[in-house]
Amino acid sequence: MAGRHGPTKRLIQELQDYQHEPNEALVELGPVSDDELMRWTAVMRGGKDTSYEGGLWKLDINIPDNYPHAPPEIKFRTPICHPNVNFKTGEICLDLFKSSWTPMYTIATTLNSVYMLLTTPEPDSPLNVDIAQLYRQGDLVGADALIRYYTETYRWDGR
Amino acid sequence: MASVPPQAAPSQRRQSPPEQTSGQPGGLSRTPSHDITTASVDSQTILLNNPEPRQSESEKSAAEATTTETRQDEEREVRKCWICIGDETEDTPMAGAWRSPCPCALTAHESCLLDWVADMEAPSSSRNTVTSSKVQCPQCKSEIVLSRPRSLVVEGVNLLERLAAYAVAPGVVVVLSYTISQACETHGINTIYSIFGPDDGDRILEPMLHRKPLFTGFRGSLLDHFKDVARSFSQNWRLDIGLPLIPTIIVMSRMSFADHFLPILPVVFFATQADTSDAMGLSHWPPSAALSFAILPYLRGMYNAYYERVWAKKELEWSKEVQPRLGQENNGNENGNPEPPPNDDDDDVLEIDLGVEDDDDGGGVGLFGGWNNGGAAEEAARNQDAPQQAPPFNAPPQDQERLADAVAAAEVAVDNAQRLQNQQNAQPEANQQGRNNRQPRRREQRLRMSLLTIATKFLGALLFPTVSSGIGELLRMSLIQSSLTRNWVTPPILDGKTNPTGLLQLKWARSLVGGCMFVVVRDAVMLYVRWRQAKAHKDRRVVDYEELLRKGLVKEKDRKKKASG
Repeated sequence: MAGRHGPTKRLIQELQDYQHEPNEALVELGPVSDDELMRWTAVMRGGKDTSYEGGLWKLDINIPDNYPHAPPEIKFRTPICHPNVNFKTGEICLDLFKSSWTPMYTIATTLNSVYMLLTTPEPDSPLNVDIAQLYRQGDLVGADALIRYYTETYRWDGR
Repeated sequence: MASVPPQAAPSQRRQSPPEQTSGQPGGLSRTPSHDITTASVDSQTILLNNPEPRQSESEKSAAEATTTETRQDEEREVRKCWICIGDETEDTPMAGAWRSPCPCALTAHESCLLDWVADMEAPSSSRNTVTSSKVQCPQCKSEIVLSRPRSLVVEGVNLLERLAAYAVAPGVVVVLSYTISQACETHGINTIYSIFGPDDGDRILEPMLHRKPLFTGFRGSLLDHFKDVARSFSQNWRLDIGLPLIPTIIVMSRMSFADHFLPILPVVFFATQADTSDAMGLSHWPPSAALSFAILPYLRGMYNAYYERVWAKKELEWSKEVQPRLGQENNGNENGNPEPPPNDDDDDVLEIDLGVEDDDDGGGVGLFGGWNNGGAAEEAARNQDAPQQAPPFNAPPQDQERLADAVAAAEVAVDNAQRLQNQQNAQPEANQQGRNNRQPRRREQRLRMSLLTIATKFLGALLFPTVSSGIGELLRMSLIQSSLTRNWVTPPILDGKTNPTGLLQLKWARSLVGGCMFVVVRDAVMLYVRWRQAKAHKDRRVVDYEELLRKGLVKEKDRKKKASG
């Protein structure tokens, strides 16, 4: 039966799809090693003409055994300054990872959603109160400066 | 939580009927899939396939499909399962049937869909709590219909389970409140007996004692039973309501906000009294029990007012004298350190005591409101502390309601600041650590102190009737010793009936007087202790070691040991 032998087949398929059709948000995407198909890693780039421009962030992706029925666990390993991302743990607050996940999403499209979250923050449900506070007080210049500072300081350098 | 940004739908589109079949290379997968469709009927659960009728039509049109279609088109037409994202070309003969259960483009293997539906319906899944009954297509939100054999038993049990889940919270509330009211009632009965003694107690509680338990002994129909219950309630509602109220009122009378409503209660009591002929009993001496107890709230108010006016200030002075002197050093602490002076344990208790006794404007919330404000003030103080160390982007928010957020913000800011400092100049963080650790411990201690105070008040209040009656009994035993006062506590007997002529001849009145005496004596002793402590505080001095030696309080041996060691 098609869905019964775990996520392996689907993951291989997703990997092939990504390799055919690279994602503009991502520099790289794939399993950490050939032996471990359930742990992926990705490098995301900051969108052009945003505060995150020029940034590079490494993300860890843990795929649960019941994928695609459960969402992958995605965390920023490079610190990023964003209202909905925990600065220390890299945890991302996105409803896609909780209630609104459906098997329609792939790892690549999920990462795309994270990429879009960078430009559409939700300061009302913050994981990083400092930057969210700036947004809530309307200090967009300050927020931009702070984000650029962190983006520059913590850019992932390939290690 | 951030929501998903609007996202392009997956690239599947509904194929028009002619194209639907033309894309399959050699029709390899089509034939087996049909076989398995029929086979899967045996499994008794199949997905209703909306476009099923069209499919036969499409097969006809497949024959008409021209060969002019480009290779590209053919690739797009390959059906792709939206769950396992495998497409038809990879299907093994084992792969199973294809289903598209909704009007939109999503199609999937039947087995994948069934897995997905099972996952959606699984009780552990967090997302299906709201829409447990329906499975929706994630793209077009139309319902996905499953045909499965229906079983009345299964559905009935499911319904019951759902109802039970809804009933849990109200059930817990009902059981808890019933338990509490029963406990209160039991305490009320004990109070009645201890204050009034067994004979009068029996008389008061008589209707209660002969009543049947609520849910046993049905006589006749259910309606009759309810009539019985209603009748007994209408006859004994005073007891039913009054008994549980006894401990409640006693406990509440320990708090200052009782001042606002306790004096009203006797008025209510007399207004609702059934027979007005001798209700007041004003002409008699001794007065009736009802009148005497009704006067208690006023007596309490008067006593409190007297204490407040005459003694409260002095008590405060005395307890202040025992506090360490407010020297220059402690004053200097004010701007840097938001904490109170280190040994404020006594202070805490005193604060709360006063909060309970004082008639503060907070009224009903005075007791608790005071603590909350105190806690908030402490938080605010910490909050003010934070920006000095925090990065500049931590601006304190304006609105009060976000105080909690602000505290969290401040904490995160402090954390960030710590981390930044560590990275920049690798300073030892022992100082800050110590500071952060001290705060919660202090608050915990404060909380524990106040909990202890509450528990003490509570127990004291609940034990008060028993103590009163005990003192009343002591009173009787001591008065009966002397022939002079014996008549005070033994009612004269006229015509074989006791006919009390004095207050102390009645058991309940002795309890009442005993209780009042207890309160007054306790307060007097407490005041004396405070005064004595304050006085002793001035006269204390440190004893010289030589003097200790002279008095023989330490031995010469110890001294040598200490000197050598």
